[in-house]
Order: sequence, then C-alpha cells, then structure tokens
Amino acid sequence: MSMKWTLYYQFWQIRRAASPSASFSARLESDLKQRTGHMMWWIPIGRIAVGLVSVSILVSGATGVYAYNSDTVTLGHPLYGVRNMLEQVELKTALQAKNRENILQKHRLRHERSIRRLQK
Amino acid sequence: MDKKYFPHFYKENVKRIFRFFFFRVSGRREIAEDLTQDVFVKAFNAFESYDPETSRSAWLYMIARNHFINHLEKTKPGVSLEELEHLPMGTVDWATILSKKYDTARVLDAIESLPEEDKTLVRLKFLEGWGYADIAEVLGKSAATLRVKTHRALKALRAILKHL
Repeated sequence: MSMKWTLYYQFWQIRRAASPSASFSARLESDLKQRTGHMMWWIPIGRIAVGLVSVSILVSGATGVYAYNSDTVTLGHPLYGVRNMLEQVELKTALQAKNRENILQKHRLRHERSIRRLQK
Repeated sequence: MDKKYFPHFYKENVKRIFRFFFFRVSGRREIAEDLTQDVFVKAFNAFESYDPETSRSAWLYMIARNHFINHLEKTKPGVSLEELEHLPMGTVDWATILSKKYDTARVLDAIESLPEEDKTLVRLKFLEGWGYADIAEVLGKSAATLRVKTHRALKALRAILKHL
C-alpha cells in the first residue's frame, strides 16, 4: 500500500476512534427530540423503508419458493395462482426446446402428484 | 431555516463537532460530549436564523468555536483566539486515549510538528472531517487555494513521517 493510502487509512482510524459514542449520540438525540416536538422527523424513514422492502422481498421470495415446490399447493389453495404464474415464467424463460421439454415433464409429474393428493 | 430540518443537520454534523472539541480538550470525552451537547442546543435555538444558501456547516463551526472560547475563558482565563486555533495536540498521549496502535499516535505527533497553517488544514480536513467549502468560509480563503495548500501539507506530513 502506498504511503498516501496508508496515511488516509490512519486518518480514518483516528476519526473513527474520535467519534462520539453511540450512547452519547442517542442521549443527545433524545434531548433534542424533546425540544423539537417533531417526533416523526427523528424516525429514520430511510432505514424503515429499506427494512420493510427487505422483509417484503424475503417474505414474497419464501412464499414463491414454497408455492412452487410444495405438492400441497393444489387447486383451491391460496397460493395456487402463484405456483401457476411461476411455472409459466419458468417455461417462457427456457431458451432451448430441450429445456422446455424437461420443464414440462417436471410440471407434469408435479401435477400428477397433486392430482393423486386431491383424490385421497 | 425551519426547525423540522434540524435532525438532518444534526446527523450531518454531530461527529465533526464532537471531534472539533475532542482534539481541543486533549481527548477528554466527557468534556467533548458536554460541549457538543451545548453547541447543538444553541444551534437548535438559533436554527431559524440559519441559511444554508449563505453558510453551510461553517455556521455551526462558528457556534462551536465561540462556545469553546467561552469555555476556555472559564477554565483558562486569558487564552487568545489565535492560541485557540493552534492549541497543541502533541503533549497528549494519543495512543492511550484513542486505544490505537503506535502508528496512529505517530501521525498525530507528525501533524503537531507541521507549520501552523498546515496543521490547522490537516486537522480540519482529515481529523475533524470538514469539507473544503466549510473550511474556506471559516478561514476566509477560497476552496481551490485550500485544496492546493492541503495537498502540500499532506506532502510535508508524509515527509515528516518518513523521518520519524
């Protein structure tokens, strides 16, 4: 590492060590909060939005995986539409004819399993 | 400026103001925290007179500087403004205070041995984290000039570190 970057790194280390503690920042923030009376402005809206988006991505991803893989998702199940949609997407994104055949075969086997399950 | 924008202003500047005091009170965290708190309360009360169009964070820097002068007048009567700008950092055991390696303390010692103007520039820019526009406003010089001077100061600092 060149001396220039070493020096920048050392500046960064110093700045980090000379930063206010989290407890102090929280205390000061809370003190200022009481003075502002604008409580909402202190809520880190950006962080909440990122958190909510991440959670919804995770939940919808997990739901999709479950709907696609589970044999219990049969006609009448609330996730049946999701499963159908994912199967359609999978089929449409298959570039080669051989792949499409394999996918169709996989779907066929899965549907047969579902029908057997419904007949029980 | 409307006080509803204060939280953003606070978040943008709290670290800089804390460091401003931290390096001037020889790394005594409790004093730096008290002074930082006072400055933000003052800034909050006067926030309606703050105009980001004419002054960026330098407005807050001036509040911090004036507050520190008042603090020094109480604790060390007779200290001048010039002395305040060049308060020595070198007499402090930074390695212990910052709980850092020898190298970091060596950098702070090297900064201390720079000429006054270079020392101020390096401290404001790289230790406290002010932007060139803010430093320009505080020191009454153009940002472009300060950029060149800071570059030279860094070069001098590297030369000192080579020989330490």
